[in-house]
Amino acid sequence: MILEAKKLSKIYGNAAAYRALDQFDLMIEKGEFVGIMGPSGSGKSTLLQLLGTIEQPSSGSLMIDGQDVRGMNQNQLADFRREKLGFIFQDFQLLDSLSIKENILIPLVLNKVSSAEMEDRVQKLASYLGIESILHKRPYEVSGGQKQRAAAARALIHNPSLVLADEPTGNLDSKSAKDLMEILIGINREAKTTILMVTHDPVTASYCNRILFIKDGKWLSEIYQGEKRAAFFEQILLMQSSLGGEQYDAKNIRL
Amino acid sequence: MTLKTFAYKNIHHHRTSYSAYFLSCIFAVCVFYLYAALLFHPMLKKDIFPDSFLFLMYLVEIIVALFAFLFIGYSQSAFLRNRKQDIGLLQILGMPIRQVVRLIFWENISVGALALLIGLLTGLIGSKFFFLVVSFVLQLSDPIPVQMSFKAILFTTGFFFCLFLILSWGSRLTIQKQSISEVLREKAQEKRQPIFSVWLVFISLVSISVAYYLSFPSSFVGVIKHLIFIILLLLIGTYLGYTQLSVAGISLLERFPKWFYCGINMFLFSQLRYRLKDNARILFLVTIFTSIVLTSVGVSLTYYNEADIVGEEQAPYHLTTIDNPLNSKQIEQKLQAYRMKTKAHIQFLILALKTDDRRKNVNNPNVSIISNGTLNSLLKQAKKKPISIHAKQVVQIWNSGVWESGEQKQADSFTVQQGKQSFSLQWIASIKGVFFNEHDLTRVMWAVSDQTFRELQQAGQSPVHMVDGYQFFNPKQSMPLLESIQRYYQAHHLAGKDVSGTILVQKFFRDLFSPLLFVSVFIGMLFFLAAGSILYFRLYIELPSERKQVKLLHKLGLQQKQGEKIVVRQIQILFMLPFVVGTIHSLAALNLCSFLLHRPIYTSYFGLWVSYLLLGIIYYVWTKRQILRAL
Repeated sequence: MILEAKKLSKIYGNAAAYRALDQFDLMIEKGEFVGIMGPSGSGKSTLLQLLGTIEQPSSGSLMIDGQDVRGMNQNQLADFRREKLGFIFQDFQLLDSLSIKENILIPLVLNKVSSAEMEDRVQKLASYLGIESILHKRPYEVSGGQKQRAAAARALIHNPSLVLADEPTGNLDSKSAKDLMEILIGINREAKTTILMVTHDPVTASYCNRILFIKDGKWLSEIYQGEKRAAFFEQILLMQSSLGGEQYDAKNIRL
Repeated sequence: MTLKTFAYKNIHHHRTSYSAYFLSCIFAVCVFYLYAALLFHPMLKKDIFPDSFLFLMYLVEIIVALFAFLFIGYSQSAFLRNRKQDIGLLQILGMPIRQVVRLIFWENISVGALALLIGLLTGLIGSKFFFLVVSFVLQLSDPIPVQMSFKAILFTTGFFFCLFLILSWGSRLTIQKQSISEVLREKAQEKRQPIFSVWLVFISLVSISVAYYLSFPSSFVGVIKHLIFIILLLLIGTYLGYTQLSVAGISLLERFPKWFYCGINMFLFSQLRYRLKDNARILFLVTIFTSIVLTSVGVSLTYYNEADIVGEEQAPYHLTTIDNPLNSKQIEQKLQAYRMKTKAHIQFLILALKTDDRRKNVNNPNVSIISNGTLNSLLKQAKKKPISIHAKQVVQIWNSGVWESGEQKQADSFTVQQGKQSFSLQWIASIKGVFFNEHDLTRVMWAVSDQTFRELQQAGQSPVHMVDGYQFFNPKQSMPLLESIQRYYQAHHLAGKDVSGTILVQKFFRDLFSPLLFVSVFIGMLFFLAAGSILYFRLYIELPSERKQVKLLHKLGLQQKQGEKIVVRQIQILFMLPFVVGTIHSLAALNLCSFLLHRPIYTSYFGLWVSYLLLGIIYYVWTKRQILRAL
């Protein structure tokens, strides 16, 4: 078990308390590729922040890779994130002051890995992701798809126990999105990297093994990938329309 | 790649935003070193500098040190705010705070070390010039020799190193306050539309007008009484003016749709309004800097330039003596020996009496009495109408430029003691103005009728002082004479200050204001650079959102040029507003400080103002170019 969250709650504010996440349970096995879906304001981002140890839960327990994350102080959490977690963001979050290669190297720099090993790992990963040619370019010189692949490389280079992806395809065109997802499932299968991804996009979500639906901070339902991706995709669409986004309300759809 | 190389890369990337800061740092180091070099100079042991000048030097060093702290601290926090995103990301990726702090320290120290190096080099080169100027200001016969002072270098380096250390350590607080979740959340947090309170606008207007009103009575005594109050009111008024009045002003503009919706006005003002809270503080700071620079340099420059006139006004007699030990024949010989041609000579007696009338003389029981005849001859020399005083009457004469000149009717009585007798006099009027050179005895005089004067003189054994006043046709050559008489006084164990003369007072003013001018010019330049660099930061921090807006407006069909115009207008407002407000403040302050001149003199100020404006324009053009290039 890589991740074990029990009765996770997050309450914002004191007087007019707002329950962003309410008694949420989540188990993820090693090597799984889990998607989280839900309408805006359902608590997806809060969940991701709690799992990423960026915010502390108000109540509940959270174990990642056998370690109890609650009760760690800020420095311990930073150490933990550096070693165990990888992050992919919707808006890439690459530093303009560094080249693509240096951006990818950040986790290794923070982990004080030897420069020979850095070189070795970055070359291998870059060739796998097809970004060797842009390694010495600056983030503002490359395309969105290339940026996100570089960001993925950064999330993967230190072999984290868990990769957290927040709408990784949100800013990409469909071709780049497809390329990125192929890479992610490739790595998921070959290196048994556990990935947890929040997304809006049913196509992106259809690459997952399993999808959790969340609404109003609560667990709603769960669907698994079957034999065919097309069937899974339809299942997701169905689920999504029944959930409703901002415009749709579940009650209306039943009519 | 290590943390250090990472730090260097960050600096390299942010070099444009560091440039103005870098320049100001260099200048701060340079000035700090120059003054340190002077303070550590071996010449100091020889006691050639007046104490007041040394005090001023220490003061400048402290001001520069404080300024460096504030300025570098402010710049650092501005940088950190600008790089919130980067730092948040690094923290998410697992960089502990101590490492972030170390990164910032490396960045600071490497920029700082370079600034220190260049600043010290310019300081070393500039010290020759600096010492020459100091020697000139202090009128030293041989200029101060230039020496490379290791102590000064060490002191400067140590100070700035500690500064960077403390500030980097302090940045820990700022970083901890920033939530790292900001990276994950929506970037653009909605800012609330700033509102203004009618009351605060009212308070702002009232405090500014009260401050200006109070600064108008141009008498020294009146101003000193209210000085702190005036400064406080001005600070409050200006601050509220920027935070409240400006929002009120823009809200008012909205009421004129014809104008508000014309061209780029809408974008410009809504942009300005939303940033007003941040901008207000900057504008306030820059305004205060501008006011201080224009006032301090303006006042010292004015007095320096007007020293001759002020001296003539404050000391209308070219030579005055009290109880001259030389008899009239000896004086005559001395005058001839120094080739002075006497235009007028006045001689009179002062009776030094005492009073215990607490109503009139709270701190000083001494009363200098002169006769009506003396008063009239003094008035005649000053080209004023004579006054006739009846027996038992007294007229008070405030004989100094620190009081506003004029005449005042009084109706009061007052008693003086002479021996065992007590005289009761009717106090009928007070006259203020400069009628004779100011000595301790002649500062406040009481004139009585000739008869009363005789009675007082005969009544007791109070000291009678003989006062002499000369006016010459060639007063410019009176310096050797005055010095010789002063030496004579000192040789006879008499107080040297009982000798006065126009040229001595002129010298006094020049000696007083040349170091002040010298020092205020340096601090003025420092403040000017800082003000410019703060504005530059402000603009630089807003650059990304500006870029976004220009791009968006371009997509909606606004020409790139037009979009740039919005930005340029903002730069103009940021530069112009503090300059205008600072000018007004400094004019009021100059008016307030020109009590000795009895009329504000704006010629020196105008020269200064024009040069400040020119420098400001240069800074503005440079900033505009940098910002537009980065856009």
